[in-house]
Amino acid sequence: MNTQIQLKDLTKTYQDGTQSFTALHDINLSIKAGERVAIIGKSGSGKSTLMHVMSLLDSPTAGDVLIEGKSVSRINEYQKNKLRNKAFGFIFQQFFLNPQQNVLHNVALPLKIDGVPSAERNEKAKSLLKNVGLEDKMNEKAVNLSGGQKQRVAIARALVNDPLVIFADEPTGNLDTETGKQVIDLLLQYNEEKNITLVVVTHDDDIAEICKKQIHLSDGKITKK
Amino acid sequence: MKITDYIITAQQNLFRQKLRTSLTMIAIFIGALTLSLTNGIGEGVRNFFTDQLSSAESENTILIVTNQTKFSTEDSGSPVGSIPEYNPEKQSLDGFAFTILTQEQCDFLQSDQKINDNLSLKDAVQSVYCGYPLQIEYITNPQEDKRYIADISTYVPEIRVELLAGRLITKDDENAIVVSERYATILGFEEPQDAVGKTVHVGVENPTSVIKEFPVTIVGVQPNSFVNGGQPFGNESLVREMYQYAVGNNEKLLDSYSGAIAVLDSDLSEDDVSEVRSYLHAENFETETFEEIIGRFVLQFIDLARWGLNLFALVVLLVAAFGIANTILMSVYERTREIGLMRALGASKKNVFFLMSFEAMILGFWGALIGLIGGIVIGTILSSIASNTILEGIDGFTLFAFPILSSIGIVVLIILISFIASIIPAIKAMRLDPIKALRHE
Repeated sequence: MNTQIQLKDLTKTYQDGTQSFTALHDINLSIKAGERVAIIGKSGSGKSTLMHVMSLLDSPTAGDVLIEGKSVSRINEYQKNKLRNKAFGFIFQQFFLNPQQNVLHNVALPLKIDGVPSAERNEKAKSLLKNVGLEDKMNEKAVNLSGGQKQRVAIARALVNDPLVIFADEPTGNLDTETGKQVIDLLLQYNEEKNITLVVVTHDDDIAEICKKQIHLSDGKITKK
Repeated sequence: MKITDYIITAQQNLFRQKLRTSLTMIAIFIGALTLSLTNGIGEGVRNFFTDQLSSAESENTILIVTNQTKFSTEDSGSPVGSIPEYNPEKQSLDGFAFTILTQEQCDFLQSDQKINDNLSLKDAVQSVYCGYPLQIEYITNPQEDKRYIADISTYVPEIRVELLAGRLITKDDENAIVVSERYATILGFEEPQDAVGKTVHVGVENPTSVIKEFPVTIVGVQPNSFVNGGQPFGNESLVREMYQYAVGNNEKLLDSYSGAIAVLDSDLSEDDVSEVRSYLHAENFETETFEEIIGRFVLQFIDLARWGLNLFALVVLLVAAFGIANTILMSVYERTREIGLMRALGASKKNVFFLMSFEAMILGFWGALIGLIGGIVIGTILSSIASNTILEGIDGFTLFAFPILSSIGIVVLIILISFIASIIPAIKAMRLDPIKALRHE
């Protein structure tokens, strides 16, 4: 299997006036295509920062991120946007749906950003809603859904662009155990069926358990792989 | 993102905050309404005068007098207001321009003098009409007893005159006149066509104060117009006959003219025309084109007044622009998380910038469109009220005009103002850090 994401001697420091804070220390890590990776740690351990840097939402202070062998420091803003838009899917703890928009349009958002014509993107969004079992909620405003339903919509949105990697930041953090399990099962299903790499940030041991690769972070350092 | 997606998304986002959007839109609406009305009245007045201008052969027809007399603006008369009744004790029309254009000068204009190596006066001038300084006493309908003052001048075929009824004067006419609609009315003809073919009398006084009435036939009725001050035209032999009676046997007076109208060859270039004019100036003539005469006095004033009025409307729009900026800024704060999400999902800074600026432009578009429609409705109502009251009797004068091009121009201008107003908030949105924006509560 190919190495899909590689972090080399990666350090991230935040500068706030005269004070500086190092969120990530010398991280070395590689993720292969189709792998399931859990990033585990207490809050403040740097796990979200690690995910942001890995997913190109943030850039490292030192070191490098390589996506399929290509150094990210060499690609421009436009290419980073394109990569996030076409190759990555994102799932957040707070779902981040547009509450006043209907479910279909929420799912189609990445395709709209990409400039896909509306008929085509709605078709694609519809088929994904079918897969997550929310086809009947298509025209419902997102605000009217339950937490579990919202996260399933978010999963559909993360998958609508046929990504290579899904980044999930505490995907079950706002859900009860039962719905949380459904959401995780759904993610596992896509990981297995479509070989989509899954990077999950979590402090839930049950979720960490199902991932072959577990990265434990503490004070910005990897303590256990 | 596609441009249609920007438009649709901006539209949806705007109408999520109906009250706020409507309040801002009211400000734009008021600005657009004011601008369409001020510009509309400017267009209306300007259109009226340009129509009047083009009804005369404006470019290649020049009035010529000697430089001993200046053009008098008063003798052009006015097509509005009532025509005074004849009073034997008083002079007729005010400001009659006395003239000293002699027979030799009139002949000179028709001679074969060389202007430059390529051009002679004969080539340049198609025809010359030397006008008699005829001063009549009155015009009257023999069926009625009222007599009205008037001023009859020679009809020049090159001056295009529109007609409401009848026909224009031809070469073979004898004792034929064309009157304006208001003369037809006061002479007792209700409709323009009633006047056609009817005989009226023109009173001319000779040097011994004997008034002779010349019977003349009305062959056509023209709209009330600024051309010739709305005064009647007569065929050349008629005017000459009346003038001969008026000056008696004074040969010197018989050979003097009030001025000449020279119709230049229509193929002459602008440079040639100015060449001809400067040649005539050197020969002690003064020349002016029709356009210059009316244009100088009227159009400049109209344009000045129009832009003065438009300036007021633009101030209103400036105020509205701050409203737009504020609205978009609030929208940016409200949707910080949404913007962060879009950035995370791959939207570029440019995408975010245009999403916000399109919101302003759509806001401006609707405000402008509603304002423009409101302006057209109000302007049309005011126009028809005005035509029936203060402007009664002036044909072809629509007080407010809304030509399609300047209407589109108003909408485009307001969209542009809205875009400019949105630049600062849109830049603020564009510069949001996606991670911080996603954490925003």
